[in-house]
Amino acid sequence: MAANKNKNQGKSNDGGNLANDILKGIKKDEILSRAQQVINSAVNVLEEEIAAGILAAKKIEKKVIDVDEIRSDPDDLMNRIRRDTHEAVDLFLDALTAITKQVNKLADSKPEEKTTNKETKNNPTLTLLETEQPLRPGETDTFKFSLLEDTEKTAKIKFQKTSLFGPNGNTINSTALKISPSSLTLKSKEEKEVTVHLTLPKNAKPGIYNGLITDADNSLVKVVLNVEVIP
Amino acid sequence: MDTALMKSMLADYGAHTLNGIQRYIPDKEPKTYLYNLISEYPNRGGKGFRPGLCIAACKAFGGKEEEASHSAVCLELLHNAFLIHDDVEDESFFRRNKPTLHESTNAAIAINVGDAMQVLGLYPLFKNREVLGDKVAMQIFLEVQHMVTESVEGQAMELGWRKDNTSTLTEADYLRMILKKTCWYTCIHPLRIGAIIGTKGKINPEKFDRLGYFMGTSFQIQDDVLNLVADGEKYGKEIGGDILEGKRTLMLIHLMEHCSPNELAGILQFLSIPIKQRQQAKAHEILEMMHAYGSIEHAANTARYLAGAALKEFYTIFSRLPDSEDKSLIETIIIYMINREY
Repeated sequence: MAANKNKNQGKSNDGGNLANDILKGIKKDEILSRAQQVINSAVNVLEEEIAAGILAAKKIEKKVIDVDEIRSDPDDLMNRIRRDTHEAVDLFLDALTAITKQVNKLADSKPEEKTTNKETKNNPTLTLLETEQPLRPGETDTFKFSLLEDTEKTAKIKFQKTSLFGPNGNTINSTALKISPSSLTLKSKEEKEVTVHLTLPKNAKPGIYNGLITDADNSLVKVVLNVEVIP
Repeated sequence: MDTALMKSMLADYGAHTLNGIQRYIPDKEPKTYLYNLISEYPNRGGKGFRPGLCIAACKAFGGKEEEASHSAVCLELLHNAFLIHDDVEDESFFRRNKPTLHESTNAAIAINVGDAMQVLGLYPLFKNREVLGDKVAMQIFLEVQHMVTESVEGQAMELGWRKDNTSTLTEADYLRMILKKTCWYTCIHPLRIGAIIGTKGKINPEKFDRLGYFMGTSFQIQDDVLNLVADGEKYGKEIGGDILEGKRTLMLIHLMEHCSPNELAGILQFLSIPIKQRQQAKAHEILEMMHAYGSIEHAANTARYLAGAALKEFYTIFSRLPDSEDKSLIETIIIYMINREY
């Protein structure tokens, strides 16, 4: 190895000769040990940095994908699945809210349906009831909507209600909703107003909640209640 | 090879790379404050070491110039993006004998141009796939990723020292900072990338680490020395500007290690005030102290030792390769680093 190197240096051009002179100059000098010290110190820094770089790169690899670790910890895997499922449910509920808002806007935009919150019983329309501003736990709010019987028949309506579903699987029990009247009879062409009174429980968690009010015997009546709870 | 031929070859490779850069600049608005400014720094005619080392290493290992051209374009774009941002961060006034970009426009525009150049540097790496195949192209992508990471880490080290007005730095701290900030992207990775291309991915690139490191540190220390003693017209930056900027050079570290406590307090006081309020007279005083304490001589010697070590590494790696102009070019660059006056 050393012989090869000398041979190459020997046959090198002007630059090589100059390099030899420089190297010889350094060797002849008393400062050889100083030069060696500088280079050794420099090499140590390089070796440390390369080692640190390799270590950091390996840590990143582990953080980005660690299939073995995920497989070896079933609890962690289950927690991930649960978290993902909750997120999927949240996404679904957000999508539902967005859709109901869109449907309501469409309904609002049609001239014949300008009477917001008026339900005609023979057409399956969706009414969205929203709080004007977000509510805090323990606060109350009242919503009103009206129903119109546009057929020649008399209809009996008995309301049923769901719980309010919020983010991360949080719910507000249906007892928070009081519908007045809880049932009613509509004669032909008759219109009646319905009041929904909401009392948020004091332990309600923040988030956007959705609930559904329907007629127990008639799927044409659908009222979606949309409530935002803030801390 | 003499220095004139070295410069001529570097100029050729540089011009080739500059043409390549032009092809990647979108021909659309906004031009005045973005695309027209992209080639502002590359056109100022730097030494062209990065594309030169990359293309020369590629050819020395049996590759063709055009195979390295996309990578050379990427290196040059990223290098100039760093220079623009570096000038803003250092509040420098001149770059290659002209006002820095943020001085001729403003800091916001200069930063945005630098950002654009970094983004433009990505596409040549993508284009590498067509010339080099997926495997080698991805290897080069990771080389560049490492190069940029090390550079910003090194820059952060230096900026942190200035912000905290650090006074307890050692030579090893300085070498570490230069390795990270300068060596990886000026020498180590251009050589590694060139050799990877030339050998079609068959070489272990780590064998160039020491060579590039010794070259880079030697070059940077020499550059810092020349900032204090060179002919300003040839050098292209304001002489002594590094002292005004508070740059932690090997000379400053040496001086702070060897001067009296009173002198150290004076230096720290000077470094603690904002750059624009620093007095030229005090900077000159520090320069005189650097001469008096042998700090400049110490740094110049260190640069020479490291250049000698770089030559030794060069012969270890390249001696088995057939002689070629490109092999000689790399050797001559190292020798030039030892002897250059600007």
